Amino acid sequence: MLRFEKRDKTPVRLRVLVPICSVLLGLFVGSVVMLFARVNPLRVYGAVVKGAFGSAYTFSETLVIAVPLILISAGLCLVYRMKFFNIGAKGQYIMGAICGSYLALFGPATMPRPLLLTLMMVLGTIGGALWAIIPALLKAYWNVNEVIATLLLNYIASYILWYLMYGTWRDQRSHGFPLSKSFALNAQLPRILPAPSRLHIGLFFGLVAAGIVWIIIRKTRFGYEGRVLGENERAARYAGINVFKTIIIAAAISGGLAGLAGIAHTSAVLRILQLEINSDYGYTAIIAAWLAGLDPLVAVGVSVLLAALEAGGYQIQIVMRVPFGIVGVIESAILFCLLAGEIVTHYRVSLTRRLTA
Amino acid sequence: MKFLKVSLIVLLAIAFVVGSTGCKKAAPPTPAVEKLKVAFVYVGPHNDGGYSQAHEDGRLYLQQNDPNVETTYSESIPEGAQSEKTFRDYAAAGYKLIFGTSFGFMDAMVNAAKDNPTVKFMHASGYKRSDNLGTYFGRMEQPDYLAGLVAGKMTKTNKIGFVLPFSIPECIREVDSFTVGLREVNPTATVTVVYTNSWYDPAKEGDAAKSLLNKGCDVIASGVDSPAPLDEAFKAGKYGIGYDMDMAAGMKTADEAKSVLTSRIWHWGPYYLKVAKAVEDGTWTSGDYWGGMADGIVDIAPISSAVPQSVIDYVNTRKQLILDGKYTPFDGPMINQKGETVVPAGTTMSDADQLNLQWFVQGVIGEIPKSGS
Repeated sequence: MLRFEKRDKTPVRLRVLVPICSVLLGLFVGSVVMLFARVNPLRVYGAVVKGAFGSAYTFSETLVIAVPLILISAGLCLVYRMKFFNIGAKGQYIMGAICGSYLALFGPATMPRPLLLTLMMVLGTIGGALWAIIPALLKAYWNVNEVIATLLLNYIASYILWYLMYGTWRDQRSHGFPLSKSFALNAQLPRILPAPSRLHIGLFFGLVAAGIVWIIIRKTRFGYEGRVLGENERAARYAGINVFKTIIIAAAISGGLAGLAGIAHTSAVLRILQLEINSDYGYTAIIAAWLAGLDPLVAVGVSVLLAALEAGGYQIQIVMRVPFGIVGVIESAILFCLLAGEIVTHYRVSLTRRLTA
Repeated sequence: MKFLKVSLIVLLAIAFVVGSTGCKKAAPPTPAVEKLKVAFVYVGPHNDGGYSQAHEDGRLYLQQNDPNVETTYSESIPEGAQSEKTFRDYAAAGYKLIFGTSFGFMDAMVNAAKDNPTVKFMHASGYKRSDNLGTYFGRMEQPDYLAGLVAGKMTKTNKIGFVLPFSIPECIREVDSFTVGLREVNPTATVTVVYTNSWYDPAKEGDAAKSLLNKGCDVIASGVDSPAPLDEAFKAGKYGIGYDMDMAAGMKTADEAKSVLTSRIWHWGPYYLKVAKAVEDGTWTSGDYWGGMADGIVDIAPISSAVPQSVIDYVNTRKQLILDGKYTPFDGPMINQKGETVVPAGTTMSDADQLNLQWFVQGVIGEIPKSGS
């Protein structure tokens, strides 16, 4: 039988060796799949890296994907530390995109650009925050499991978007196709590099958000209370921490950042509201937050790496005509091995003849 | 979480090492003559047995007939956000002519074209153009009309089912011209429309066909990208009418091939060759191409042996009229679902009206969802 024994302290060499071995193992598992697909794994990995970092353009595309991941994962680091498992970043992202786009599509055309964009970002943030406050209230008042509530709200948000795109928000000139009008120049968040790069000022939103969340967690009373709450809710109550308030504020910050990611990406990159607005970043960001050990600054780096894997994945389809699914295989193999590695770092695993009573 | 920071750095280092070795191996010798790099972006798999495969056949035709091109494709690219990245990546990778073959790529291509002025973009079935973004499509309505004639002669229940992806003009035109042909030979027959809201979704397409068969339809026409509706029709012992390619040719058994009365098909190859040549010569200009059967870009596949010769002969005489430019399915009188004459006798619906078509002719059972804003 396998026996797991919690370690008091993880040896330094394990902390370094295990992640390296995990990644290598993940790459190896990915290679085996590629060999079955009759492609050279070394060339594929080379193409992924080149496709993600190989030129100024590809690197800026990697950062375009990283921006929403950074924003969302920063918020998730905060709520996950309180053991509020918000799986609903996707829905919050969509609601942010919808709320912010309302102003872009139906707002007064004469509004000055800085004001319009600021209001759009604020509305998007509020939209995402409200969408996260719903499950927080359900949890605070009726102890409804937030995993289920946030997950199901993702579907509701998706279908609200569908409803609008097939209904009143559909552009008349789209001939029945589910598209909004294109955003006017005034409603497009500025890009910071010359074309064809799409990198936009949302990058600064992300970096600032990650910094602020880090400060909240490390340096504020609120962050401390949240951590206590995450460790032991009963102790937090005895200590006089207002559990309701803490959960709701944290959920609002997390949802707000996801909403901001949604409207920033829609306004700067897509410049149109449609059914497909990359809302799956809401799931990828969960992985980023966990792999970063719930540290928002580390999550910035992890977000860039996950974005690189995705951006490089597009490139291997173009350069090598490898199915995009291969990228999913590599990504999951690496993640799976990293998560398995976590067990080895935290537990001593040994073989025993039988279970000890 | 220091070890994760360390592992991140290590990860990056490994990635770069692997990357640099991989790149060395991958670097091809520089070719003596610069070839025109042409990319195709498909919404479905390249071997979907339908719409995307018809374009893929066109790409292969181009590759075989023009030694000065180097072609590639991306498949199963979702419309919207993800497609824009694919178009941009191709432009950044040095592709100078990029075909996008699905309507929903439209705004992605507009955005990508704007930021890559030296790259020529060609969008099938769209209507937004710019200096380096052209549009092209074929008058599939002509084969649709001919297929309608076949369906009208073969139906016993006088109920035809049409599996339609979206209610955009491209699809409405297909249903209307099909129904015009159908009722020319069978004035009491009707066409029932079901939408799948997707270009390529075999499971949904099959379910849509099943629901039509349950309603008593005995001929199922497909306007979607896969042959799934035809499989359902065959399983129910009924007939199907294919789209995009000669779907009878792709069927597993002779019986199933026979159940496919005919297909309305695309021949993209010669057109793709013409566009590539124009880009090579520097004579390419943006515009809209909308060719018909006379150009050979659309056609009707060989008609099944289940259909009597007299019907085939009739279809051929009507086909000749179309080829001679003496008839179009949009010749009046055309009557809408409410019984009002929209296109009077002696006139033909203008191309502009056809491109914006948003009404069904009499004999169609189904609605076009209302647009908002």
